[in-house]
This record gives sequence, structure tokens and C-alpha cells, in this order.
Amino acid sequence: MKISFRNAHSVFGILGKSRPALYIESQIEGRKTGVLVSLEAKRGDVRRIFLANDSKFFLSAGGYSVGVLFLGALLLLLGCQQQAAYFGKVEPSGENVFRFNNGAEPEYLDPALMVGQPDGRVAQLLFEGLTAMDYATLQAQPGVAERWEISPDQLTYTFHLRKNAVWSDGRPLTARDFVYSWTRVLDPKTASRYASHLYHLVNGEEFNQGLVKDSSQLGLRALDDYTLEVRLRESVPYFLFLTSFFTLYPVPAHVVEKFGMHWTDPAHIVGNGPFLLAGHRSHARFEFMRNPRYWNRDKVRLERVIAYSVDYNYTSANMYEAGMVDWLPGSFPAEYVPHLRRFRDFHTNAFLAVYYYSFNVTHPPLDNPLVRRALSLAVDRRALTDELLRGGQIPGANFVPTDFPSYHSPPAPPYDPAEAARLLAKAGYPNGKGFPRLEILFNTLESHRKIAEAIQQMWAKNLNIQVSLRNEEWASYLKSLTNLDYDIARQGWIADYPDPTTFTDLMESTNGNNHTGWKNPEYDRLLATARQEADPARRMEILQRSEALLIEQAPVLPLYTYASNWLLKPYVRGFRPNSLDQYPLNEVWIEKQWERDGQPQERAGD
Amino acid sequence: MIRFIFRRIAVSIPVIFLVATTTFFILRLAPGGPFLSEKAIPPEIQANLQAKYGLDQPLWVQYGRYLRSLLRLDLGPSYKYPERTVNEIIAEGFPVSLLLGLAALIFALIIGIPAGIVAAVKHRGLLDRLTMSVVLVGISVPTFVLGPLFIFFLSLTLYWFPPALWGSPEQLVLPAITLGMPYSVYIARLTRTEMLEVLQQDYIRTARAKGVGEFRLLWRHALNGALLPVVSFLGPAVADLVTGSIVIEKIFAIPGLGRYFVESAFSRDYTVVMGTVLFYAVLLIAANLAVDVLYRFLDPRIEYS
Repeated sequence: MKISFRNAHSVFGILGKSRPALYIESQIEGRKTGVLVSLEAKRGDVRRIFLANDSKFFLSAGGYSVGVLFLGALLLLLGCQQQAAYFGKVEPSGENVFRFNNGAEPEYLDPALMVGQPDGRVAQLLFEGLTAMDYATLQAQPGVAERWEISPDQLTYTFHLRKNAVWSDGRPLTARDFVYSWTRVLDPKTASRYASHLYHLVNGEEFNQGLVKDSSQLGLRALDDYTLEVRLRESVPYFLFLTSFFTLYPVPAHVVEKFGMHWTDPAHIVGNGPFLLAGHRSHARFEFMRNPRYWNRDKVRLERVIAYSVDYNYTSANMYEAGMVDWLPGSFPAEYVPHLRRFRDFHTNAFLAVYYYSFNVTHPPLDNPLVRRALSLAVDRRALTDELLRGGQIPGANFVPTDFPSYHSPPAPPYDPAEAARLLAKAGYPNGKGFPRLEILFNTLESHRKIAEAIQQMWAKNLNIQVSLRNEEWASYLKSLTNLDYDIARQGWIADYPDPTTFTDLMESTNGNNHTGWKNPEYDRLLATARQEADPARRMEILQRSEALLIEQAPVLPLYTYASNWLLKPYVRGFRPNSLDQYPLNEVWIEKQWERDGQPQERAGD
Repeated sequence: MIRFIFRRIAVSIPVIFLVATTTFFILRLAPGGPFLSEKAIPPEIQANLQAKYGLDQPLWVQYGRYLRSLLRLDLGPSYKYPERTVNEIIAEGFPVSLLLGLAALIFALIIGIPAGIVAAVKHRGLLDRLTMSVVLVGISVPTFVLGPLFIFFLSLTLYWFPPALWGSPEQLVLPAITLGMPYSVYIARLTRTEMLEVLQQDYIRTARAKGVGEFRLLWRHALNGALLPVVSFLGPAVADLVTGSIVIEKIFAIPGLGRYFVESAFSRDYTVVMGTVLFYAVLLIAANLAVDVLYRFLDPRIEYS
């Protein structure tokens, strides 16, 4: 903080010459705070404080000394606030423990049954798959499997398991455990919601649907205790990602069979990951301890991990500010983001998820691609992200987020109100004349409403058409969506695996998540061709063509790519930003001497 | 007395049955179900899920099965958190809500009753006006404003109390005060009104004429009568307080029972909605019964027949 005293008259020229005043200015990181103190103050006099950012305070204080003291204190307070490089208290806990807020209470601890992100973070601590992902490079690293071979036709994978991987109760972890676990996921009786991740296996889908009853027909075989052979029905370029995903984690047969649904109780649960579950209280916290039997235990530097389940974002931010947690993976209010940006412990990066509007193409005039394209061209996406949301989102009309390695997005049309109006006229609605009143459906949430209102205005302004808004609570909204009981609906999609097909497949006519009624044989054909294509570059080219068709036909109106925003205390090390919003804690550590490293701090992961 | 209690319990059983039945059918009228998700599940898996929890069977079969397990006091597994049963959820959440509710109640009584007495004794005096203005403010400010204000000043500015979480005594302070505040002001107002009335009674005047000291007069003679309405207010208030409040639990991140009342309805977690509603009904009935019994001790004129 730099303080300079100047003649106030020369600064603002507002106090008369007869009234001497003092101007105190502090300047931190380019932001100025100024305090103007009248030196001739009398009782009841009005003193004015000016802040350089245009806000003004009018103070009426008693005596002169009180006023100056008060102003001095205020200045100091403002100065301190500006000086803070980090949000809230920065004070590592005395122990070797990492504390974070996991957000919503996980629904399941059983990796075969879970679907949610908070569930996944817990599973990642307790279990490990055949492969482990390096999320920054999207390369598969050895996990339980120390190496693997892939047949030339990309259909057969042979995994060689490491012999020092054991269950946390000391039992050996073998290829048979994987056969058991994956068969269990596919078993109709298990009713796993992510069973479709194993539909790539020979007979996987048929077994899950009860068409094949014999599990030995699955493309899954333990050649011996430490060799697992997997046969796929088609080539799956991201299969080694799936083997690192929680649905494909091994689960301990001997514990699952003994305790049934309750095998995941802290008293029973057995895992194979870097940590053990030491305690769980629902809607409060999970406590984990380092697993002394984990094969890669030397790399694990944390003694304990505490994951809180605080689902109220304001409280979550308070906890971080008070220094009770070290990491908030997104669990703070979105409207804090513009304010948090100036802190060094705030991090943001794009992640593979798209926010979009779907058109119900069975409702005229939305059956007309010209109308859909006009609506899309009339949306100023940059205004939505940079002025309205200000949360680091990346505006774009591409359905597949642009961050995929080795995938080149087709060009998407920019904001063009004139062209939009022209297209609408061509479709028979010159200057919006005769255009029916459509409705935007969204699930009840303030940010969805803000976006819908902004788009409502953009369409009114650019196309002279009126739309109304309809919000519904979650379950009703989903029902309206599935029943095509809407005109235009808000939707979001997060990548399941790092491949463009996680987005392009959505719009296939048979896909259960295609809630638009849009069916395009050419599009389906392109996707089918891509599935058969063994050459990765050619495959990506076909997928690019399919997305180009999607943009041209516009059954969906993509608005932006999500940003993952997180807060991480500066003493935490070992975090690597990535586009999948995945942060394994295996190699994270607390640097107690972080201040000695000299300021400014390197950003985590750089 | 014993007969009175037994009769009340006997009357309660059909009430609880009615609550269970109404809740069961109203819930099923709401659109959607517990296994809806944004990412569509293949219809086969959806069918597997429905079958696993018996939701594919006709409604009356499900209803019959529910009633049968209810007789065994088994509330079934939660649909949203299937690794836990509703009994476990209540057993885990209720003690937390109970402790918090009792702490809030004690706060409300400690503040409310003396404030009411002082206001009544100093009727129309400065203290009366002051207390009643504070009461007015207390009633007008909702807990979702009060809680964050407390957190901002006492936790994040002065660092006196932790802003959230549960487990240590100092973590109890802010939520208990926030939760108890509206009750304390209500109790203060109630006490004041009743006290004013009691102080006009003949027996008080007689006692005063006989030369009973002012403190003894209030404590021994007036208070018992003045507290009767407070006690009848406490019945439902206790049931309300100890089953938790979603607002307080969210703001202070407390793992109580209150959140389940609201969240389970949104997630269509049928068994949890039923379980918590029934639990609340039983508590409410029990609390009202306790109030009626307590009345007898406070006012010997009341007889049970």
C-alpha cells in the first residue's frame, strides 16, 4: 500500500479554497482508493470520502479527531482488503490433512451404481481402475494393470495386472475380480445406470437387457490370475479412458456378497485405492486415511483427506473464507466469480461441457431449419458470457466444445442479426410478422432465468418476435423434456469421456437423450461410418462433418462451453488443471512452508 | 391420568394411518419418479431399476407392502441414497436436530420469559417499549437473513464462532440463536400479555395486600398462571424445533433431519418423504400429549376425564 498526501483542492477541485483538505490515496495493484479529509471540520460538518472507483460515502461525524481516526481506520481496512492476494484465511491446518467441500451428498459409494460427480470424487479416493488417467494430457497411465496390449483390429485388449495390487484387507486383487465387477455392472439385477459404459463389450448390451443370460458369453475373460482379456464389439478409441472411469472400478466380491447393499458402510467397505474410508456422516463429511496397502503408496503424501458434503454454495464459500477447507471444486455461488477473479487462489479453465437450447422440431415453425438458424444467429453469445454470467464461460455456437485433442471443430456462424432477420423473412416471417409466440422451458434456477430473459430480449430486438418463459422444478422439467412437451428448452451436457462422440452421439435419432424430435438419416449414417472407421484421423474428419451438419440443421442452439471455477489455497500442491474437471488427490500435498517460496506464488499446477 | 394417556394414544393410531395413506397417494400424483436423471437411461436399465425397488408393480400392491413393513416399523430403503434405510437416516439426523432444537428452545425460554416478565412489570415504561421494539424486529427479520448476518459479523469479521459445520459446542451457538430467535420473541410477547392479565387478578391483589414481596409475588404467584399459554405454544413448537429446519441446516451446514423434508420431495424419494412425514406426525402427537399432561401440574384446576 502506498499512501500519498496531496492538497485535496488540486485533486478534485470541489472544496473551496477556504477549506483546506487532505487527500490520502492508497494504490495497490493498480487499484486506487482515495480518502478526502476536510481539515477544517466543525461539529456536524459533512466530510466526504471519495473512492476512486466512483462510489461515494457521506459521513457526518462529531469532532474533528473522531472523523480523522475513523477515516484512517477505514482507509486501512480498504487497503488491507485490497492487499489480500487470497480469498480469506490462508493457514494450513497443523496436520497433514487435505480438506475440501465435495458439494452434494453422494448418492452411492458403490462405484458400479454411482453416476454423480461428488460420488466419483469419493470413489477415486477408495478405488482404482485398470488404468489411471493423466487428465492433463488425456493419456492412459498404468493403474492396476501395469501394461496392456491392443490387437491390430483394436477389438481385443489384454491387460496384465500388477501382482502388488491388493485389496485394502490384504486379499490379492486378480483378473477374476474384474470379471466379477464388470459382470455385476451389466447384470440387470444390479440396475446400474451407467451399465451402458460396458455395452462396448461383446454381448454386453444383450446381457444387460436380459437377451443373453449366460455371463460366460461376455467378451470378458480371466486368462489367469493376472491377465484379463477384453473383447469389444467395435473399436472404441477411448476405451482406456473408460477403464479408468468409476463404473469399471473393481469391487471386492467377498465383501459385496457378504453384506449386500450395505457393503459400502464404513465398517465393511474394502477398496484398492490410495485411501481408506475412516468415517462417514451423511450430509456432513467423509474422512479418509492413507491406505498402507496401496501399491503406489510411496507417491501418496497426504495422511488424511476430509471431504465435506455441504451443498449450500454460500456456506461452502464461507467455509473456504474462514480457512476450514483447502479446496472448493466449483461449490461456491456463481455470482462471486467476478469478485473472486482478482485473488490468486481462484482458478478457472474451460471444461468439456456445453450449455445449449434444444428446439422441439415437431412444433412448427421450429420444423423449419431456416427459423432455427435465424434464432441461433440472433443470439449474442458473447454478451451472455462476458456481460451477464461473467463466470469464465466460453461463448460458442459449436455443439462439441473446442478443447478436444486432435479434433478440429467446423466453423460456427458468428452473431449476425442482419442475416438472422433475412433468414426469418425467407422462412415467411418478415420482421417477425405472423411468428407464433413460442415458449422457453428451463428448470427453476436463477442463472437459467437470467439467460432466458436475455435471449428473450435479443430475439425481440433482432427479430421482432416474442417468446415467453416457463420454469418448472426439476422432475417436472425432465418429464416435459422427455415428452417433447415444450418449444425451446434449456439443456446441458457434460462429456462422459474425452471424445467428440460423447456430444455428437446425443443427436443420433435413436439416442435416448435426443429430446428434440430431430431425426436425420444423413447424420445417423455419418456417425455409423465413424464407428466403423479404424483410422483415428479419418474418424475425426467424419465426426467433424457430422457436427457441421448439426450446425447447418440447427436442431440445437449451443450457447457456451462451461468453465470449471475452483478455489485452492496456495499451500496446496500437485493440482493439474484439465478440461475434464478431474483432480485426483493421489499426489497432492500441503506445502507448509509455502510463504517462504517467495511471492508472488506460482499458480498451482503451472 | 393413565387412562387419559392411553385413550389419546388409541385415538392417534387412525390419525397416523390416515397421514400415511394420504402421503403415499399424493406423492404418486407428482410427475416423475426417484430415478429420473438428466442423462437418459436406456429403457431397459430404467426397467431394471423399477423392478429392483418394486416400483413396477400396481400401486395398491406397493401400498399394501408399505403398510406391512410399517407395522414392523421398517420404513424401507431410501431411493436417492439406496445404501441407507430411512430408519438409519432418521436415527442419524434426528439426534442432531434434537440437540439443536433443544438448545434453541432453551435460548428462546431464557430470553423470552424474562423479557416478557420485565415488559409486563414495567408496563408502558421505557423497558417495556424497548423490549417490545426488539421483539418486533425479531419477528420481522427471517432466519435466512439473521443467519448470514450473524455469520458475517461473528464468524467472518470477528472470528468468534465457526461459520458452519457440526460437532463442537461453539458450532452450536450461532445456529441455536438463529433458530431460537423467532421463538424467543414470540414467547416474550406471549408472556407479557398473559402476565399483564394475571397481574390484574384478585388473588394477586390479595397477595400484595398481605405484604408478599414483589419478587416472590411474581415467581410464586403470577408466573405459573402466566406460563400456561406459553406451555401450550411449546407443544407444537418443540415438535417443530426438534425436527430441524432446512434453512438453518443449509446455512450452517448441519446434518440434521430438516433438509430431508424438503429435498426428498424434490427428488421424489418416496420412502424418505413418507418416513419423515410420519415421524413428524408422531412427534407432534407426542408433544401435544406431553403439553396436556404438563398442564395439570401448572394448573390444578384442570381435570382429565
